[in-house]
Amino acid sequence: MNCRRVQKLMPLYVEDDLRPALADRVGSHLEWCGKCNWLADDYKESQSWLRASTPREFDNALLDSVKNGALAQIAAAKQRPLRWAAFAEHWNRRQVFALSAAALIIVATFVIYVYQTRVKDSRSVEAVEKMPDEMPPYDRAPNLSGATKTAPEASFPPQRSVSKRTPHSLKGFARAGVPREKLDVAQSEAPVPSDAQRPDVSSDSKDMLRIEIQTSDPLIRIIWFAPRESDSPPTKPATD
Amino acid sequence: MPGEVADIALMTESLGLGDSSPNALSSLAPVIERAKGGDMAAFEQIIEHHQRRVITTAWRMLGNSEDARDAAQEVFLRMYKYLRGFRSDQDFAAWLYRIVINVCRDHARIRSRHSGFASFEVEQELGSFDSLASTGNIESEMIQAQQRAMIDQALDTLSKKERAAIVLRDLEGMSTEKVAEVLGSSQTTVRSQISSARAKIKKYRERILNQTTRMK
Repeated sequence: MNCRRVQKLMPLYVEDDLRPALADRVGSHLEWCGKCNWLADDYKESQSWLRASTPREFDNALLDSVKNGALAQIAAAKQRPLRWAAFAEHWNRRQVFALSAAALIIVATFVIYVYQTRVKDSRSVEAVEKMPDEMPPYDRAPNLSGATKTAPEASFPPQRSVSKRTPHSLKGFARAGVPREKLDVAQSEAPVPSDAQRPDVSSDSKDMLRIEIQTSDPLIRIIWFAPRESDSPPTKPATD
Repeated sequence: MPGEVADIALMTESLGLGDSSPNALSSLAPVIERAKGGDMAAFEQIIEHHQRRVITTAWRMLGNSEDARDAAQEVFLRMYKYLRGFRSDQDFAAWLYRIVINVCRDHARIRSRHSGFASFEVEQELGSFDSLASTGNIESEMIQAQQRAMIDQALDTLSKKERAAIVLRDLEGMSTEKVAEVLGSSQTTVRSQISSARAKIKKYRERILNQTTRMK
């Protein structure tokens, strides 16, 4: 073992903090190395100096003040009410219940609102994504016979979001029993013209008069069928 | 009750360190159990038994008596708070020392945030050594006080961990194993800290000795 290694281990060697095997090796080195012996003496003196000073004597008055102070703090901590207890002091049981119920209702309302908003948005996005690439123009002349061919019904699943937007007064159109294969459902991504509600009257069919009204919403078009030869008012409106 | 405390104190004094010895622990065990059950008299006995050692350790860790007193109070407050969690198979002295070290660390952190430490001179100005005048041998007491202040300054050259390790190992006389248990470190880490601390203290002492030699 060289001097450098011994000097490194010396602080532990002087207080017997080394493992016995290592301490023996340091000891055998010190038997012949004068320089390391000097270092060992220096460390021993330093340790003696550190231990020589008697610890500060604390008088009984100070010790009593420590004890009494600690006991007083403990007593104060015992008497201090808990936070919820302090809260309960100002509110009786019924008020706490009412407050909790109100808070619960507010939270539940908020959660439902957020959930419905998300569902609505996701359905709208889904509907737009499912639109066919080639759409007939919204003001294309209707063709009752080829309606199902140009805009297959299967490509437009029933959309609640659309029907929700239908005015209440037009809901009867949907219930009127117009065969869906005769409805020309046309949707377009083209910008809506200013005269959005311009009626589109077509007369391709022999026995039915068809009136299409494009609403400001490109997803909603009102299609009105009426018997051609009859003077009676249209009874089977439908929306889609 | 006070007689019982005196007996414990006498026994632990005769055993030197006492607190960690098996005999003292076995005699303290029923008192600790009673204190755990909420017996304030038993808790007071534990305070009386340990307060001198606690405040001395705190003073060695913090370097001034005001902070040491506050720290000691905090130690006993925490001891009361966490005594229910103390297991009978644990070493009570080591458990208590761990609280002392933690409280002193917190105090040192707060102190370093607000201002520096109170030096020997500051303590003199504050009259912390007033009690010395009442003793017979003022000169020797002053020398002792000066040496304590020098050691405090030497300890101030150490890091917090080194200071805790050296205070427990060399000044409180605990074994390395126990120090590691108290500090929550490995024995290797503690040895490294102790080694570094002893080297720094030796260096500081040599510097002081050189200065005094030059002055002469």
